[in-house]
Amino acid sequence: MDPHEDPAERALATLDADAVHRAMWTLPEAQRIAIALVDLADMSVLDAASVMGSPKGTVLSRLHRGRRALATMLTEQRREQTS
Amino acid sequence: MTVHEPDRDAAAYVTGTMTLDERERFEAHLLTCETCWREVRLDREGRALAGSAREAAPAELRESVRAAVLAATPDRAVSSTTRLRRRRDRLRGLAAVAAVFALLGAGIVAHGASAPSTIDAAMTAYAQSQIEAHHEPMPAPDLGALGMARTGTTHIQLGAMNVEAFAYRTDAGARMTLFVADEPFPMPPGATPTLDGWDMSHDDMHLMTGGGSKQFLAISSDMALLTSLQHGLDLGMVQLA
Repeated sequence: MDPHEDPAERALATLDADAVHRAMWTLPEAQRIAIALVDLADMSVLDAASVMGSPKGTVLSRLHRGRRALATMLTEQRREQTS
Repeated sequence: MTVHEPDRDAAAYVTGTMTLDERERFEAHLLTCETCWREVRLDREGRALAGSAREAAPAELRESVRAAVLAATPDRAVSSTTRLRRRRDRLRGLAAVAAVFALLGAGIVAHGASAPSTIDAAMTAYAQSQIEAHHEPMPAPDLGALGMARTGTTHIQLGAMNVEAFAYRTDAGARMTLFVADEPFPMPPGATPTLDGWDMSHDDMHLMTGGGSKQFLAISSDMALLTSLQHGLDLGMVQLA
């Protein structure tokens, strides 16, 4: 395997959208909504903040915690599958 | 960025909401901060993963999702909005988000091509416990007599149908989702016709439809809950509307 390969791309290669979607449903609601609005529906962080009725900084924090949880969860799953 | 907040800053950096100035300062900071560096890497990875789920949903679906959410929050750019109005918008926005999830879920989770999209979407909503307590569109059927407490209510679109959705749970933790509409739920291939609708089992889920002026679709992985619902309706212990 190419050592310079982007870890995100490597993860993507082995996981289907279904697994990602299932993982998304395990996130706390606020994080899930932030990800749905910004990463799935392509909304701006400002628009997402007004929809959620939260300050921009709060939405960014939720977005990050959700993304981090997805990355951690799916990396874990992948490790289980390949070990 | 006078205060060090790795969570917020990582997302702002990866999402591209920083000004050029903020960006340059943060990049300089990244060189010396192990924590921020790690959070940026994880954020990028998570964003790419979420993006892969997005790729599975057709572009027009994403567009309708965004339109639905934005339409639900017309005053979003007004800075002088009162707290009350913002709260109202927020509730409308969240109701739209709930509906939107049903659409995205139906698009992303690939069930067999055998069932009509309405039923696919209904099964997706059940499987993912999507029904959350957002608003009260119609009086929820009271299933207390059957030992089921309501845990969520929403209005969602399943395929081409607009339905009210209610989630219930027993003390033992068994779940049932009840969809109520004015028209009959389409019968998928493989379903068994009944007196007033159809029954089906699919992927550990049992589906049952029926009703009169109000039609219902109930889904549960516990067949006993559906039997109990059927009896409750037959005996008049439970009303749909």
